Amino acid sequence: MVCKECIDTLGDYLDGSLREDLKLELDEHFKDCPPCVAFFNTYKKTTRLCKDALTEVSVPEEVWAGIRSHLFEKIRLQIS
Amino acid sequence: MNNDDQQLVEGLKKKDINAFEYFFNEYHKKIFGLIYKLTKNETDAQDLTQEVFLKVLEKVNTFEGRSAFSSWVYRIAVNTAFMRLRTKRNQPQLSLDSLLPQFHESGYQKQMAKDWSREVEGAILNEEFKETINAAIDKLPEKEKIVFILRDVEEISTEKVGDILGLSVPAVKSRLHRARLFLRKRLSKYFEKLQEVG
Repeated sequence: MVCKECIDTLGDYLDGSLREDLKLELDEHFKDCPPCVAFFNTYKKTTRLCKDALTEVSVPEEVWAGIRSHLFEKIRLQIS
Repeated sequence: MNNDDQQLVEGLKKKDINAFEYFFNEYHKKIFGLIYKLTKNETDAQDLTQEVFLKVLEKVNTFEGRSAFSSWVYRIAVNTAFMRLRTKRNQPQLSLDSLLPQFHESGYQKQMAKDWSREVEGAILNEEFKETINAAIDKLPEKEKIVFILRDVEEISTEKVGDILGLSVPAVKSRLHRARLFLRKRLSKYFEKLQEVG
């Protein structure tokens, strides 16, 4: 396995769906290729950092109450 | 479709207010959360969330149950958010290809990757870094961005993401991989700059 094939399979490797024979080849490649190990570590870390950076916004319950009553009013009008 | 979904869909088709109440309570935060991550604008996300509820009610009679009800709802939410983004977009979309890894003909890496993963081990993300990441996600083309957000941020399974977007599993995986490669490259540049300065 060369670096290109290694990098092409990282997605499946990370989510555990890589075929067993390819996984063995990838592990072998990692033993001899520190740049691909670095690539994999940073690829994996990227996912986590992005998830952490996309912060959730909490909408106050009173805003939801306003949205809810506005929506329900429209729906009642549609039904009637 | 499971029994609960079937009951909910039947209720919505009959315009049963209790069914709508249940639907609103189950979905409003999920829809808002997803749309907010796509639009990065709280007011837009609130407006669009309302729009999604009205669209679902308007279109529920066309729902045939070929996908899970939640996938169908997410699909409407994604399309609604992208419609808004397309009307607002003022910067050209990037081509990912120039930022994907480059290889020699032999298949070996052209640019040796540096391992910055340990530099951020356990670190709390500062605002500047968060902005860098958010800007990088915003630069992703639409097709890759939505797959990345659904799969890696919302942690929806690959199969369900395919169901929501009408894509095969290999297509979801391919777009996700390209998105991760692009984002990784952007973060690598950020760390390289930090090292130059520091």
